[in-house]
Amino acid sequence: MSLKKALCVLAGLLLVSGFVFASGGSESSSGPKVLHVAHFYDPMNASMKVNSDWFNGIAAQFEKANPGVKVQWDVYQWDQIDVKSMSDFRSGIKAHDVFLSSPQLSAQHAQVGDLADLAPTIASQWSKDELAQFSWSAAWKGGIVGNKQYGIALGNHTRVLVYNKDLFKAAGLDPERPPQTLDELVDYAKKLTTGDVYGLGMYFGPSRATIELYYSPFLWGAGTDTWDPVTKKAIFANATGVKAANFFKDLVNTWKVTPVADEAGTYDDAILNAFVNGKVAMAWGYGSYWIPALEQHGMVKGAFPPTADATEINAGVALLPGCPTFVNSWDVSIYSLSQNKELAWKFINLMLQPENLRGYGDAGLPIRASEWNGPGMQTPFYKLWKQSIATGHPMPSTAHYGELADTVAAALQSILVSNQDPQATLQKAQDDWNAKYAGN
Amino acid sequence: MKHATRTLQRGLVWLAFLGIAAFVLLPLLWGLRTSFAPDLDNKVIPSFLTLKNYSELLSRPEILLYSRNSLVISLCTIIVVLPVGLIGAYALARFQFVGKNLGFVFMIIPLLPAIAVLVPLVAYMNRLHLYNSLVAVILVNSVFNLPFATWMLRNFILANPISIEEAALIDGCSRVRMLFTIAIPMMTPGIVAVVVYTFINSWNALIYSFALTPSPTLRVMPQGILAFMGSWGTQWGGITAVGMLALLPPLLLFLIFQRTFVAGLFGYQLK
Amino acid sequence: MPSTRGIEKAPAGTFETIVGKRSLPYIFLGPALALILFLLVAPVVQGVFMSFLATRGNGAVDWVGLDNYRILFRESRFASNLRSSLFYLAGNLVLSAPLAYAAAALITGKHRQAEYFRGIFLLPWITAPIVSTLLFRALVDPQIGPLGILISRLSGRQVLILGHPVWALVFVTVHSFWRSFPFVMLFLSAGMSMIPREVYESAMVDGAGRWKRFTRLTLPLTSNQLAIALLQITVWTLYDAETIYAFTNGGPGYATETLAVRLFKSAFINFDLNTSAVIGIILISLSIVFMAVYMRLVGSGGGDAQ
Repeated sequence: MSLKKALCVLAGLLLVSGFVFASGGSESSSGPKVLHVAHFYDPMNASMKVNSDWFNGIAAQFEKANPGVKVQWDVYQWDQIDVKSMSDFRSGIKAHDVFLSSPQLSAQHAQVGDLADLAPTIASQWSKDELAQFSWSAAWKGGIVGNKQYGIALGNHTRVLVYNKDLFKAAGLDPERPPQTLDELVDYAKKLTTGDVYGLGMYFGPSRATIELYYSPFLWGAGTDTWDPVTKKAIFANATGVKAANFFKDLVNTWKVTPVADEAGTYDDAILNAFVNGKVAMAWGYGSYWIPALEQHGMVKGAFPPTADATEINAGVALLPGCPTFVNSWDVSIYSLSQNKELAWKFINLMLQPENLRGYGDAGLPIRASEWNGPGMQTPFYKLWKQSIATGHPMPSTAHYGELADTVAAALQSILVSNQDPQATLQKAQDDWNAKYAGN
Repeated sequence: MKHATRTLQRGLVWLAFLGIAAFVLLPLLWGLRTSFAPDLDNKVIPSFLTLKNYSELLSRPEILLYSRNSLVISLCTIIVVLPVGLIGAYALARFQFVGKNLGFVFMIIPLLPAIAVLVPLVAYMNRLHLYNSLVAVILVNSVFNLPFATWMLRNFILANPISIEEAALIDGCSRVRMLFTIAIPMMTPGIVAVVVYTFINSWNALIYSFALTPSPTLRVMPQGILAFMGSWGTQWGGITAVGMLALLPPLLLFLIFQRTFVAGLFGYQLK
Repeated sequence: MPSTRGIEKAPAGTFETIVGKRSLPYIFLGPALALILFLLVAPVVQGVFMSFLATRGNGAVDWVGLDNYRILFRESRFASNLRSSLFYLAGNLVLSAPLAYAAAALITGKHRQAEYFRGIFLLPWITAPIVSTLLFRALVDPQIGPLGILISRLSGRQVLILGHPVWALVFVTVHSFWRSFPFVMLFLSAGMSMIPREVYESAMVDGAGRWKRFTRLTLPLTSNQLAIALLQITVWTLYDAETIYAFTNGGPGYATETLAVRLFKSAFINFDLNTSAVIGIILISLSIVFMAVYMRLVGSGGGDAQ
């Protein structure tokens, strides 16, 4: 009898303490005002810690300047943070304020309504000069849908064509004259393909990077796109699209200047690792986030951190021949159901202060025009990167961007890996997408 | 002659055991090796062993935090699942009543896909003011572990003779009291089996925390593992180190309770 | 099914007399049913409702009835999803069941050896799915994985298993098999150990060969355990999005995109709630079909352990 009683009491205590312990994890409703900031830097990962430390620094400044306010972090995976915002909005959750967001999904955010329109606030609170600091970049346009703005770019991520000057010389090509047109590109690639080395590294793997960095630039260069903003329909199966698919096929199969492995694997392996290890002579879509790697491998000197004497030792950079490049960024946004919009705006402005923004590593190349005036950014090397940003292009403004990119990527995989007919495959993919999402 | 075939047979049996063990262990052994090897070293035996991955990991306060969260969730899930499943299993095993078959149908409902209901569940939890708390994860985790737990316990009860219970009832004991003093003690292996099974499932669960608790102070171990896959590439040393560490608690639990667990799974009593 | 109807009167003043003997089973089942009704039925109903809606460009939501289903069924991607799901499931079952039976036959009765190995055998099940997925993924990577390097050396060039539309799906299935096989083996072994040896011996005396002994004795007598094990595997593979997504994201193209992965991507990566609701309903319907099949296999109510 007493054993049973004891067990019951024990079980009850455990249960109660368990729940008390457990609900201790959720926030208390009273006490200091809490500003929720969402990012994707899990401090457990050493390389992410650098960025989460930066955020901690901003929070410390903010709490000092605003006594009575505590900053609380929400951490998500980088490829799921936008959807978290959208689904939490739909669920009526109010406990979010500042969100990092991806500009490619701006149109979807506009449709769902989970992010606040920042255009009025920017117009009333920023001076014209301050606006000019940001609006020169293609990344800025990514956060704008129509006349509303859902995100402010924190930096620039851009891509260029890199080429190995030593291999150029060995093939009898002028190391200071990179290819200017697509035909020249193929021509150079053929000359550069010898033995183990491929002339041109590309990436056609099953990911959105293929569409963003490789397929879309071709279409932009011809004046078209994967999606038409007027009819609001996918148009990637048009003549240029088919031409692009065939071009990729030829690179690998006909001219054999691009390794077959580029049809799979990772973007890092196909471009970054292949180039710095000398496996490809030119690499299309080399990212600005990989400038440190060039420095580490001695291919450039004095470029990272940027100094006035940056020299290209054996790596040269050039604009993509005949095509604008994809420019994006991580944006910062305000959640539309936020109960602390003014505080959120203050926080964002603190992040954007030049002294602060400079320290945010993951942001990429600077967004503020003033940052490009320093001596370290006046070298030909950096002038070229800047040019790629200024002439760059964001992805189309469809609310179903994710499915669009995935659909085209899958179609390209069928064409390249399974040898399906380019015209038919692209057309079927286009029809399937339009059946569901045309008009969005 | 017979002796030779018998040793041959025994030898083959051992070979088969080793074969299966090798198939089972190979990926895990490779993980162990990589967690002690420097990054990007791809020789079978690494050029040198290093504790760097582990030391970097263990110097993080987050790992204790994530483990604590996983532990709390697992224990509380057991606290919910065990009593609820136990009395439910007893009812399904020993009683005859109207709607018994309907009871079975309800037990099957949580066998439906968790991901299919996760999105509406988030809104639901928010309305209950449980969003972003461990309670939400515990409740959802419990519901999805309930069918198997109930099923196991029910099978266990059925495999054990009712005679002892009936004797107690004839003697004038109330059913509830009999349940606590006689039936439950007899079910110990079954209970242990449910505890071990539920713990392992809860410890490894990723998807409920992913949907219901965004706060970094409430993250669980599997999410910590995913932290090593950034947008710029994967760090294998770190991932395997976390993976190996995450393996330890359930492994330990299982090894300690192995015999009881197996007995409980199949309705035996421990001799 | 044992009945307790023989014992009628409950002692005075106990819980039983307060609530009445008739209601006792309902009270016992109550908490479980409450949890399930409370936390699952409502979301499922909402899911059904959402599958009949579509979101327009301006954010408005319309009722479209079965249109979402019709569009989905016409997609070549959906057909591929269905095929992949079924292949994934069938592949796992086809690999697991026979091999588990063979292995179970091996370890049944050999208590001493089985003891040592049992802990090892159940390791795949104890490992977190994400961990085993990443391990397998690394194993087959041509740069760092022993398997990948081996295959590349044998074939003379860099082979990316996970980049091949057919081999990626096969490999993912092998991983699922690796995870579930020991569990099934354990279940079947327990079932088989409950069959007394005399049953086999009398069958042998009657002249029944090994195959006949298996199909006429082992199979029916372990059907309960087999059903539970198969149901467990079905639940694991049919709803498994986590591991496949970590392997290939559903690629190359849509080759490894099962229904579960598509659901995960629609809901959590692309935030297309209506499509994800439709796929959720389809997935639930499929599970009901499988459950009905298994219930048939065992007899309604699950049968007795004996």
